Amino acid sequence: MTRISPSRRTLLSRGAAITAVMASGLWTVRLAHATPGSGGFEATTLAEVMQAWSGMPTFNGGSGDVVLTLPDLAENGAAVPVTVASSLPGVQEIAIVVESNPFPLVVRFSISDQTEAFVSTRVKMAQSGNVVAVVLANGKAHVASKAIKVTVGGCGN
Amino acid sequence: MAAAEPIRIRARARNGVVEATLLMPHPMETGMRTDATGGLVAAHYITDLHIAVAGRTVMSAKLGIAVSQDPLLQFRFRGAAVGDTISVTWTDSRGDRRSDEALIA
Repeated sequence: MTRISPSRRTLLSRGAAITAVMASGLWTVRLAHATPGSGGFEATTLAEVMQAWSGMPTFNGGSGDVVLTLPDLAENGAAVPVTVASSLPGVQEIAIVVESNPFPLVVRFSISDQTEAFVSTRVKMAQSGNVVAVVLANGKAHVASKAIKVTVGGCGN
Repeated sequence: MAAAEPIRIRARARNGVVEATLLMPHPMETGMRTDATGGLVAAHYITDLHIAVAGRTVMSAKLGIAVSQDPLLQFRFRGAAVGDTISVTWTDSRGDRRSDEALIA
């Protein structure tokens, strides 16, 4: 946790800035220690994914902080509807993580000032497991998770 | 690969909030799937998404392989009105890019 310098934290919180910096290639090596590959997408465990927000206080979402909506059961793991919303002020980022996937991080949304903390999309799930939503607001990571049973996995084969 | 199909964009303003729905036709191949002959299908997926209204970024996103085929996205934003142009651009893992626009209704 304490290894993360304030400057890196600032970078991580600013999607546009980090995109430009990473495109330059200068930071990829240092980032690789905290988040393998680019932005956590090559991480293979939930813990590794969460390192993208390390150095930030993490909270289990209270009522309304992170509202994660998905079915209890999905017959088709190829397209599981997931909605994440939050009533927190100052939301900068929303991420969706499927803990049981080979690469758990699914997507990271950067939320602009006048954009509401609400995203709804569809994700692939290889098998039953937890879906985790991470909402970054005012430098804090708020997390909620929900278990879902998948009848037919959605990663091909 | 054939050129990617247009992004379908629907954006409707109501009480100062624009509700937008995007559908981006794309195979979103994970690189972990085998075809009928048992060979691996190469990874091919959207990695970056950028949405702007009148030049102002509304939302951007980084996508991994586990976003479903033909990604669907719903989101809401303020500060735009009927008749404004919403523009959506994706870039995929092969460096291909597709941009489309629509008017907010």
